[in-house]
Amino acid sequence: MKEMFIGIDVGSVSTNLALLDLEGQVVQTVYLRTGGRPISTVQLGLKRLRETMGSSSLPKASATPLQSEDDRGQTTESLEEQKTTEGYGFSRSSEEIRIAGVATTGSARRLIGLMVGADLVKNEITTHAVAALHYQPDAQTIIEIGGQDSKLIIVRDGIVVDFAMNTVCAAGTGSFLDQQAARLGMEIEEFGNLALTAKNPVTIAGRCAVFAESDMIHKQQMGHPLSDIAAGLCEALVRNFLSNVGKGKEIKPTVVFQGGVAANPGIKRAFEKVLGYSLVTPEYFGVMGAVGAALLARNQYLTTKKSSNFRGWQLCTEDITTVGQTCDGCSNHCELVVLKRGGQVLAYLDDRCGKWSDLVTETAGEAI
Amino acid sequence: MVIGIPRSLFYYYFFPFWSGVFQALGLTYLVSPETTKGIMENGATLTADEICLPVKLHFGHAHYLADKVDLIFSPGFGRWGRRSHFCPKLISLPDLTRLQFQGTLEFHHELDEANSIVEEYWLAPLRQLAPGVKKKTLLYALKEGENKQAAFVALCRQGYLLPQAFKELDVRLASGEDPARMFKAGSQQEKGPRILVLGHPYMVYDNLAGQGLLQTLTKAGARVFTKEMVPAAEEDKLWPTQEKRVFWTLGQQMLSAAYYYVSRRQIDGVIFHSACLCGPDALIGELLEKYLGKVEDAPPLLKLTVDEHTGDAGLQTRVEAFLDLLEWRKQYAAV
Repeated sequence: MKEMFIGIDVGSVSTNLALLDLEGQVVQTVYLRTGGRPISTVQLGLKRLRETMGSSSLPKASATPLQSEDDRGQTTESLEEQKTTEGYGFSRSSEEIRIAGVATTGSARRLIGLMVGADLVKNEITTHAVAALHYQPDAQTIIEIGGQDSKLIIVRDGIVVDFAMNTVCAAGTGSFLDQQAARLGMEIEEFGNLALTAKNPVTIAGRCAVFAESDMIHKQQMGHPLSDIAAGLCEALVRNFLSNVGKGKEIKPTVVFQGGVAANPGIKRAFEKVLGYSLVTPEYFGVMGAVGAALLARNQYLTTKKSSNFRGWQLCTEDITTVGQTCDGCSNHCELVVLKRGGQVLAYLDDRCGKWSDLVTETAGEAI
Repeated sequence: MVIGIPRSLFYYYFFPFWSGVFQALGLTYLVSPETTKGIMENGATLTADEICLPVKLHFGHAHYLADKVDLIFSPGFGRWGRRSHFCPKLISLPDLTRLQFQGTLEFHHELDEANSIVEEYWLAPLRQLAPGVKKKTLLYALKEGENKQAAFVALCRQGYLLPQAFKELDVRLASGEDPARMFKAGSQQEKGPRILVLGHPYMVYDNLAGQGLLQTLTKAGARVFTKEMVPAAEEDKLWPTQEKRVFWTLGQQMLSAAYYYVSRRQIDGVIFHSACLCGPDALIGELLEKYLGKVEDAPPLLKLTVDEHTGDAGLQTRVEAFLDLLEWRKQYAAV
């Protein structure tokens, strides 16, 4: 029997899963777009993980019967696909694999934690730091730029001593780059390489996404080549990151650069130009949150030897939905989220006073 | 006649005094409820864009009271003690409120150089509330209020967080205990990281503006310390290398609290909780960082800024990560 650990990072833009073995080696990673549907995306992600594992750890006794076709409610990508691949790996087992720990992270960590029966629900700052330090123990600075947020984590002697996250402004994150690449009519993948070819990067106001955009348009109309504009934007985003998130924090090498934007060579070079040394981009830079979560699940398992709360692979095919509900208990009118499996309520989330969320947490596992 | 007290600004500190005075004079008052989304939104629409969140909340609470009471209690805050001031928004608060609402009870809640209530500011508004009452009776009522306030302050210094101190004060007074007597220490958890939360009481303790910071911390097993717990002799003290006193009352109190706890090594982490668009806070945050930067092995600092648009999720993530950081640090120190 092989013990493995799953880390699930459900961010606003992407959902990443990582499967680690007992030694902490990454066995498999999955990268998906969240597309505003965290639950079905995680179901799809788990299914992908399982496909590649090609073995089963379906608990025989506790397997929940599948819902009938009619009861499934929303049709989602995962459920559609499910029909064709149902039952794929159940007998293909070459080596028995047991999921010994699951951890969730990212902005939907609580919701997904309750859904999968996570053993650990951890904030994304910690998981990113854990993963970065696992691969680069001498790191002193971690820069993580994702779809909607960016983080700067300061490490000294192998421990986190300070961190910062961007506040309300999304300028300088992946979404903005995506948007600008689209406006210039190119793939985001091309954008970074184009920036590398720049001869004379133009200056673009990076303080605010709106100003940056109008500045870019102005520069285009003035006749500057696209490559210079692309490079200028990369430099503007880096400046914005360093002044907005960095705010005078001392950035020392070794600097680990991770998150989806680390795939962009233009941004990486702009950072290197300002800092004066090269950045380290780890192999799994795009899924570090998930890797960190899985590493933490592994650590917890190694220290406590507690068996996992993981609800099992059948949850990929279960009819799990959320329903919005407004509480009229007081004038706060909390917008509750009700997590349901079939007709059964698994959990309530997002109430201020806790009168709903306390109702069912005991049945939904010990994740929170 | 009913006086409406907005649950905003220095309700979160001077309510025992105010209520004590009104009770002694047999006046009826109504306190607006805990901040709700509705109150916050109303406050934001009633005020100019660039006003800070606490003042917006004050207007929201005043609006809630406007059609329920005869007079809206509308204090202004100018200076407390020596060379210590509030920002122009708090100084001009009675005027700002008068422009928006009818029937406001205006006065200035000032403290003299010895940090006691300036009675002369109170006599005029009290005469308006209780016409025909002798000055002696009014002064007696003020004394009653001051006694209640003193008992509350003593509770805070015993380690009670402000809402608990309010509650405890009521319990003690109802049971007929002498409020001026010293109480036993508040019950806080023994283990867990010790966190100094620096912020304006009307932000930290507000239902919405505080964004559950204190609840998140206590739920996670942390012990919370605030500037209200600092002993009287220390609450205004400059750190040895501080070049000069900070102009702002609460700002200096926050810095003094940091100095008090940090120099005694009584805390593991500092959280600076500030209001977006608060001018003084922008300076205090910098000074705090500067001070901690000079302390050897200083506790880590987390700066949180909130406004009416901030969601709770960002704060939760940062606070959780900060607690992880402290735990990490502790383990490292133990090795």
